[in-house]
Amino acid sequence: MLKRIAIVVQRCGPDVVGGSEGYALRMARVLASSFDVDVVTTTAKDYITWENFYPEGEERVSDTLRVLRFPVDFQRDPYWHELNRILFKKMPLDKFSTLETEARQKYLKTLEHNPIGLEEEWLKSQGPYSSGLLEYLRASSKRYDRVVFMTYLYPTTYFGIDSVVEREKVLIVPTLHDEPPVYMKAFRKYLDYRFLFLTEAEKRLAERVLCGRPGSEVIGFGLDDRSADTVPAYGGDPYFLYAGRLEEAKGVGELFDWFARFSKKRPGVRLLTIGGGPMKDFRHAKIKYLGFLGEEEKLSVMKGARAFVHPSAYESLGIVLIESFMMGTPALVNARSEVLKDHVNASGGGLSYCSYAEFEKGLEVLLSDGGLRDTLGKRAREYYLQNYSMGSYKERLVSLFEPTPAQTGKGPPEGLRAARLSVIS
Amino acid sequence: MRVVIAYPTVVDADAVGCDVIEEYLCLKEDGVEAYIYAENHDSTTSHMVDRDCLKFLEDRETILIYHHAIYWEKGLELLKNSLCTRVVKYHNITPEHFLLPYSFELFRTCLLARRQTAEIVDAGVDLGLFDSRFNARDFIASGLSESLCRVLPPFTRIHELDGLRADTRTIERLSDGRANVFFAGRVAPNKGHRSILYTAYYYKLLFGPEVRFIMAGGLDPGLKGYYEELKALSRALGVDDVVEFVGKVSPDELKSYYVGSHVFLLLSEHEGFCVPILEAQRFKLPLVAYDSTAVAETLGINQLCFDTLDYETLASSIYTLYNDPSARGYLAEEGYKNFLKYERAVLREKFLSCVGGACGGRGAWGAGGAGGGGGTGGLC
Repeated sequence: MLKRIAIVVQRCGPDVVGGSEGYALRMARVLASSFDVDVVTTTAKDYITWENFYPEGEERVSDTLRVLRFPVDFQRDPYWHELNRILFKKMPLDKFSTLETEARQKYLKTLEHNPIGLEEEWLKSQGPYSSGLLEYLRASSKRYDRVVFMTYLYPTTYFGIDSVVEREKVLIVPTLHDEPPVYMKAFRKYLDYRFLFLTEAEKRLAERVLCGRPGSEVIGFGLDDRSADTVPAYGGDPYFLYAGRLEEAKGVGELFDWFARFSKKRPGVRLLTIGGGPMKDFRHAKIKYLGFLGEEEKLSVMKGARAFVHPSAYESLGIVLIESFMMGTPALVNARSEVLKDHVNASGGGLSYCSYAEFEKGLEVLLSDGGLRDTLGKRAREYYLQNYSMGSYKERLVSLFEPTPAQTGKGPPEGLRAARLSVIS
Repeated sequence: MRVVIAYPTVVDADAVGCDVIEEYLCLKEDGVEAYIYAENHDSTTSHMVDRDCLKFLEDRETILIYHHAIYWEKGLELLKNSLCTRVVKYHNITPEHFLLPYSFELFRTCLLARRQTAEIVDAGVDLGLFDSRFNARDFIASGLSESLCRVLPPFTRIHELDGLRADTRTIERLSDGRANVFFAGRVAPNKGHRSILYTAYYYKLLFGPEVRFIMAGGLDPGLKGYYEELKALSRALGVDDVVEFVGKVSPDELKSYYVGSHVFLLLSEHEGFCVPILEAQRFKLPLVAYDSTAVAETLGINQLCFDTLDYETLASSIYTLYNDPSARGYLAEEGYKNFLKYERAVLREKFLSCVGGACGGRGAWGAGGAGGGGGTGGLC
């Protein structure tokens, strides 16, 4: 029986906002019901500076779950920004997702000549880089039966996997996004490892950008169903909701611009936002920032929304979207994200947009056609129940970490063993 | 039991100096009484050097680690007069014929140093440590038994480059779409600069001028004639526009060239070890190399190493690597695996094992302790 699992993730804390960080913690909690789990992470809280924030050392969450935090060696500074500008040829992240196919191919061709050494220098200076964490993995990975690395992009994974001598122990949950860094050749070394993908779209992206077919499984995600015990919040004026990191890279700038434009036609409608990030202080009469809410409150606000709007072009799962589906709330998503588009297409629980006209039309339909909104909401919830309920996720996840016959020492069935012996003799 | 490490000039910036200092530090970390004897040193090493330590050479409980890389008259005397265990660490000496056309003084210095190799063997060596198997040949040819020879690569300062920030202006200059072919090494006649120029000529002829061949390295004033010859050859071949002699560069510039280049081109005709190979491998820079002297053994397995200087093939290899990220990635990853074999922790263990073996596991190592590596015969 497997005993110990390490989950390596760039940040972990009660007030850390981030999809992959949230996923890591949830995965850790699920696995901790069957195994001893250590979350191995840094003391950083802020994903831009990586400034040391949490105390270094061990935090015991439960009998079977610990968080081990190691300090980062340096904060991100202008050196990384300079390398970023040079490496990605001044391409803004929000512009990349809007490139037409030909322009995109032409741009990606220019990245092919970037030296791997330069890519690694970019990766390291991006942070969080923790030599203490890497040293811990080098010294202690033997004590774990599996080491799960969360997120392809950070030094904790990129350099961390080199610290685990027994490669077969490593599982990477890459949370890939179709963004310029994913095309770096340095990441092709991941092909030697086994992946756990969150969606089929992410798996397709991996095969495309890594130029190969890594050993992999689509593990998905699971949420405890909280719909029945949650009361809708913010009644009265209809509102749409976005929850997550409030930053340009998530498409929030475009969302704010477009919603401000929309609100001139529909002044009685608001956009509520939850989370944190550099754009949280954006001010507009019809856009209200609710802050960083607790789980209960967040789900209540989700349940009361006309729809959840997800403006990001870069998602590997979209946990908040699944949460809103769980609450029976339909979604309006950026179609440039293949993952989000897959969710609404597969569920029939939402709409997608590629332009302001489609964005406006989507909001309008969800506001004015209550019957349609409710139908989409029901389909969204059905999709959650079928694909993202906690029970089925836990079953999938735990079975992944169960020992294989070779590990238990059981070996092949008796008859097969006899056959092999007879061949040898 | 104590160890005295001797070399005429111990400064941090010098490759042999670095090896001496790291050996000293490894011994200290291991609780061994250790000293450095040097006639010259700088402010960074002054606290390590102790000239009174020569008195210990009369004590049989002492191990002398004598570094041989240049002519050192006094050094040979103290080796001859010592009564202790004698370990010689040999770093190679450039064959004098390379230098004769440019500097009689350098020719003479190298000739004398190489003659000293035989005198050192005659004086009596209990254990020979060599940067490479290739280096051991000089001592074996002078009569040292192969059973007394061990390969012990030198300690390097690559981890310090790793911690530095690269010069972003240099990286930006290198990121203009041209293929960057880099070489780092002294401007000296054994380093293969001429072959690099011929390769540049064929590259330009076959694939066009979207390339730069960058050669970094200091110039000994005595070799100015060699440098002038290279400049003239560059003009004659019409490759001035794709060739850059950037001279001695600062550590942050050096790192920029390693991380900003596409290929490291190594066409040296004589290398006893070649630290730049490991530097390139550390920074995932693929190498295209000529298989001379110790080059192939330092490169390790699964690397691109040619046994002839066919310039068209060399140019084609560079072009292919520039345009094929998968090939570059493969060589980079395989090269990095080789680099890991030369990390400090690995070399430290080997070094302590060799020295422990030389004293038969006595002293700080204890009987049968870290010793043994130096006690079993043959090149390892």
